[in-house]
Amino acid sequence: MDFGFHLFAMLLPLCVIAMIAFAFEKLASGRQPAHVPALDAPHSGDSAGSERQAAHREEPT
Amino acid sequence: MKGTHRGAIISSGILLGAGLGGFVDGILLHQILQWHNMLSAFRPPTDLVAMKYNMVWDGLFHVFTWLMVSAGLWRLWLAGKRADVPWSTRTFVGSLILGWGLFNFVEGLISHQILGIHHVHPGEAQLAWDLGFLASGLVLMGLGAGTIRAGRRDSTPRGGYTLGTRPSHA
Repeated sequence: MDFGFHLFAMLLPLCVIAMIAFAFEKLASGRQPAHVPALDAPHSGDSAGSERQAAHREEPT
Repeated sequence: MKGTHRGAIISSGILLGAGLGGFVDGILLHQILQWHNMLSAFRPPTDLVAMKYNMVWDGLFHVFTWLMVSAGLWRLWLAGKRADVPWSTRTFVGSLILGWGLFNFVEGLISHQILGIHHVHPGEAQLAWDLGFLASGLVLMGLGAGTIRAGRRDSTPRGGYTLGTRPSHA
């Protein structure tokens, strides 16, 4: 009985914080201001960006 | 790319900040200063048995804060693999501060005020200490939210240079 309540009392704040963290993730995602350029730079896993970077390097200066 | 998802950075930062804030509480207030323990209001550590009992619960608390830090680190790793997550220092640092503030406020509200399992500094002035702890949470939350807001237009991808600029080493 005591163990269950103590465990609940200890975990409750941490669970509330974790839920708030995931709520922030949902709220903040996709709410970037419209004038900010979308990210499309070379990046691991972004094969199109890597190709553009490679083409950019090959341009004569 | 259709949009950006800085929420992945924010949730990682909150989890990491709250977990590290929990370690500050556990290491500084429970162990070094020995102001309170996890269940010191239920079982004051006045003898060795009660101390050992509280020590076990302090250890369990550290287990779960460690898991929270691990979850934040894992989510940060996943966010780093995504091309649509702006790699903003202000967003991340603000989220860390927000997470720490959330820990102080939520833990202070639930553990100290509602359930009363322990108080920050038991004694005649314990209410003042508890309210100060809550206030520190609110201040940190405000500071973190302001820093996140300051970085809301950051669009630097992971790798450190913005769209349209060439890295000097390329």
